[in-house]
Amino acid sequence: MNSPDRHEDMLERLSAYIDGTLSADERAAVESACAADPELRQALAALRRVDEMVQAAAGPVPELDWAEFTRTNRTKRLAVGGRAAGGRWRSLMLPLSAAAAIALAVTAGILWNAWTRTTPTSPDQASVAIVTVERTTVTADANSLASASIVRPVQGTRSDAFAGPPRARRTLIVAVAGQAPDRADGTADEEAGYF
Amino acid sequence: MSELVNAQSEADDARERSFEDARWVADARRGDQDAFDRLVDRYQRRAVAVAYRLLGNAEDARDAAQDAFLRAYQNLATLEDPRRFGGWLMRIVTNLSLNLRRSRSRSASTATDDVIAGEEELRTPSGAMLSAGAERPETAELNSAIQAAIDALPEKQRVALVLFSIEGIPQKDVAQIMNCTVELVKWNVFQARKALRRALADHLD
Repeated sequence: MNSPDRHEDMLERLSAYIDGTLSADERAAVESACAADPELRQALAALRRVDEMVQAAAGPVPELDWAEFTRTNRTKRLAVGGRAAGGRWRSLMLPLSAAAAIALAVTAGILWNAWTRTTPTSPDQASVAIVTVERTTVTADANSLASASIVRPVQGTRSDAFAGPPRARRTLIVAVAGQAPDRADGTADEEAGYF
Repeated sequence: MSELVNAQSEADDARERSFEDARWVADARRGDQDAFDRLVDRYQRRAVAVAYRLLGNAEDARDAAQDAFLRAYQNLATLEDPRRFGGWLMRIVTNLSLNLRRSRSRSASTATDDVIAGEEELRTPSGAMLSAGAERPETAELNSAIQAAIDALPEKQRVALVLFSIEGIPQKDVAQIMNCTVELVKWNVFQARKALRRALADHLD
């Protein structure tokens, strides 16, 4: 073993030799090199000895009550919900939900457009059409949008529409009509979208 | 010749197991608890063994393995190739064990000594542990030196050594567990052996 690089390369080869990951030709080359070089033989023996020492020191893994381990795991699984996170169906649901939400938004937008052209609005109230997109379910009928089973009109100011539990933040505001206090500046239209 | 036949037979068994794993994963995703129990039965010994090698404590190893199975169950949907459940699970076990080990060494300086397995086991300052029951003093001293040398290894070298050299997990599976290439696994094992050879020079014949 001459240069440090060659030495390092040879040691790495010896390590691979111990692991049995060399080809037949490479193994033969290592064996031939070791036969000719006592220093290599010593290095190979030392690396082998290190492995043996490590394995001997590691000792056995403690034996557990494996049946009890399995039972405990089932109990833990049931405690956190019982059903594993689904596979393909679950991964398909996200894009399907997004597609459904977009379809809802487009439909509701068209309906709202028609509605605002025909429905007079009270000057002191805003009508906010809300589409619930959570889990792509539809919640209620709209009194003036009979065909839009997905729309729930909310009477009141825009602030009223935003009030309520955090769940409301998963609601899609698709349309705002009427004269809410800040309706004039156009913010109501801008806020149509996901919340 | 017989080596080739054995290798082929092992490869066939591994393939059969991986397809069986995929079936059980699919059943578990549909809510079949018995299917996931079968996965637990198949991998619990290896999961506990890997955690034990990294943590050095049977109780922590059991808890880490339980936690790993639970996380695997909760995240089955993210497993892209169900045939590779075993490697994926071992990666979870390894990561949880390393996290626990890191947090343990961070708190080691302030925590009180909580050695609870003193009858049969000897815990080193880093938290790893070796069997020390009926050992002669010189054997205990050697094991202590070996464990100290392993503890001093960089984390990736230690993990590669534990998984490959001690647990005997094939390098390609270790690569999946460590999320790296087989070449990198080989390099880490080699570096670990080299470092141990230096550290244990006085104990080598």
